[in-house]
Amino acid sequence: MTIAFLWMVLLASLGLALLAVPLVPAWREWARPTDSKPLGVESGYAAEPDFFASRFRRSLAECTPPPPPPLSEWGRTGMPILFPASVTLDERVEARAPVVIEGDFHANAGGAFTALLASGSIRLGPRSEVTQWIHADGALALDADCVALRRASCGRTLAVSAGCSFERLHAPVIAFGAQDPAVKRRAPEGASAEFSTVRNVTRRAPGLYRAEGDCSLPEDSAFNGSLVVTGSLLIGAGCVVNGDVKARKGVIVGPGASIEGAVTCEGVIHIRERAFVKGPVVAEADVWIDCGAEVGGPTAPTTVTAENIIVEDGVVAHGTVHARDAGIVWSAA
Amino acid sequence: MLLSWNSDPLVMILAAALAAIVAIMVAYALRHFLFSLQRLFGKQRHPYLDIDVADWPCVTVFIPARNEERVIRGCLDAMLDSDYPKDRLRIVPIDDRSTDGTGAILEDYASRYAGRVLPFRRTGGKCGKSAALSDALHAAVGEIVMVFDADYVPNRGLLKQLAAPFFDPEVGAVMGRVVPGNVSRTLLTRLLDLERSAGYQVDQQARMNLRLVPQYGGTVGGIRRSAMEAVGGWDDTMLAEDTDITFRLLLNGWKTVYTNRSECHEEVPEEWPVRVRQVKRWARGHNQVLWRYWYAFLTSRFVDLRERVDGIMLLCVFLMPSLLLAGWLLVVCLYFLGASALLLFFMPALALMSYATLGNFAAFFEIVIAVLLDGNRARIRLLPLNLLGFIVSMFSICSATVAQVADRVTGRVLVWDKTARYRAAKG
Repeated sequence: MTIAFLWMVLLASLGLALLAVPLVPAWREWARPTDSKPLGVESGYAAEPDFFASRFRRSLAECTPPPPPPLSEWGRTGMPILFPASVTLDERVEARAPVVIEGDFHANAGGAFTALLASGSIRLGPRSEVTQWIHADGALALDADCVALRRASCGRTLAVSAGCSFERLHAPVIAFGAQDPAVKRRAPEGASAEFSTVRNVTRRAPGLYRAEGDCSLPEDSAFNGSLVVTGSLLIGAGCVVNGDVKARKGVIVGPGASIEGAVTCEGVIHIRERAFVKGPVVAEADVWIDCGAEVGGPTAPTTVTAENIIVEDGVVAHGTVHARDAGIVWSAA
Repeated sequence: MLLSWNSDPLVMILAAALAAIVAIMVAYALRHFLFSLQRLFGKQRHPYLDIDVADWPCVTVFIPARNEERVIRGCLDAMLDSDYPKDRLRIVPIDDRSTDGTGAILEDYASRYAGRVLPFRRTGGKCGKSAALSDALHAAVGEIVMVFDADYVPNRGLLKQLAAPFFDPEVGAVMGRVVPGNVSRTLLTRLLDLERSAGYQVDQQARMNLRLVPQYGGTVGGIRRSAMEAVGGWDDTMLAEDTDITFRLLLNGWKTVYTNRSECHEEVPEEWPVRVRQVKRWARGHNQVLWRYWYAFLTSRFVDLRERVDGIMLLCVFLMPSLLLAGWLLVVCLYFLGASALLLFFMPALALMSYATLGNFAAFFEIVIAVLLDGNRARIRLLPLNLLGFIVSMFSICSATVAQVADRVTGRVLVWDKTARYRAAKG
């Protein structure tokens, strides 16, 4: 046996040993599994807007929280703060733990809360902040310059004043800023036409049309069917579309225009004053909604979702308004 | 030793072929790298996930079932428990000539949930899921058709999540994420869990993020009926009806959307022979689609450049194992032809890129990223054992490809092969 042969055997052994190193933990995990459960697939947290409030309410039913501490202790206690009746706070307060009220709740300006739950209505004074979730079975009002992070929901009207910022709002009626009853949406009128009468537009399937490049729908016109635009889409003032519209680059829904379906865009959607969209508004960039516009209806709630949502005074939405990054209520006045 | 075209033409031709194979493998490996990096650092697209309230469209859920008495109850119960508006949901289990108790179970559900569960019975016609769905299509109501295999158990909110993208009129099909539910059963199920994680969590979602070609997977998904009818409906001659639909929709202007957070448990094969049959069926079906649509796809005016590149790479993915074997054969030939100097360059590249490209469908770095994103850290220790799955898949796909070529020559008809079920019967 030569030295060269021994070196070769040594080298081969070393190589095999190196190859076997990763097999050791693999073998151990196979023989004695430590991580072999299926991935969880529950999606309730995403689908239910008041998921966290409901879960917290259920957890409360299983324990008996202590009586509410004095206001000076709210910033320190980690236990839920439970009130058996309506509460009005006249001074600024900070609460580290969730606050639960069997009745109405009214907080003064500048309050800071992690979570709020009321069986009645909630009103938060100016510049208040909620960092996790807020839910009222009745109405919910956020005064000027409030911050509602994560989720805010209620069972009646959610009034969000100018200067407020939000992430996910959910209510049968969401009223942004001061409502001007003089601003009226015009009822759609006139006979409907096919999209194929518009330049660039071709029919792709029954009720579905496609425009290559940019597309403009004339003012005060009416169309039946759904439209896909590969560029930008301008829907003229007073135009009515009985279907869904999608544009890849951008959509402008003109003043007083009415879309009876959904509006989808990979860019920015701008819904001008007094316009109406019945179905979901889905933008991969931002959504701008101008004064007097309305999204969804009292009997047909819907969803507005985008990275950023900028809403003007006087807008009404029904259902969910979800800004993945930030939502702001802006006053033109 | 210096080689030249004049002195060694055969060696140079073989070397050029090997170089081409290595280049293709590198291209696929780079694609997987790109997907992995995109999932880690890129912008994630879930545009429709946040639609939680809407005027939901009418939906028909098809559940193709052939001898599914062990699992069909679980699927039906989950469908009936869905939070989708009951008056907008029709559940149509398709009894495809079952010879076990499936028919009686469906009768029972139809009588207990009259108007909600409406079984469709097939007593003749071609075998296979495409044929069953094609026959049942006229029983659908509404614009959206969803398809679930009988062993799938959707959670309450899944149907809404899958219906939401259809508010976008450009969306022709929607695909959710398939998650193995029987992970702990055997080594194979654990390896398939890793593979599925990478395939969906990284590969499909990256393609969605990059606006490439997410694939409709034939189950846990939905299809727009008018789009389906416009492209000719389900084709019962296709073995991979899911890939077929993805490409027919795409080359006619409709998009397929992947929703990574719309997850549903499935049963993966627990035995290697079952897995081999499944892979062979996928390979043959996929190659069938490649053969039929590659030219139409390359020339479609509705497909942009990056969709075209990704789509062709996706279509050719089941040709890669054969190409890889051809590469190894070329290496041996070149060695015996005295071109070992060339092999010093090509062999390591081929070895590295072959697994990086094919690593049991989901390349190994995609598996690592997927496991990281899913938060299941310890199971990644099994990664080296994935070599076993890689080798089995490679030879299964190669044999399927060879058999497919032989079938074309002899004129033999492709036959659909149902995947076995393992779950104990419920009730």
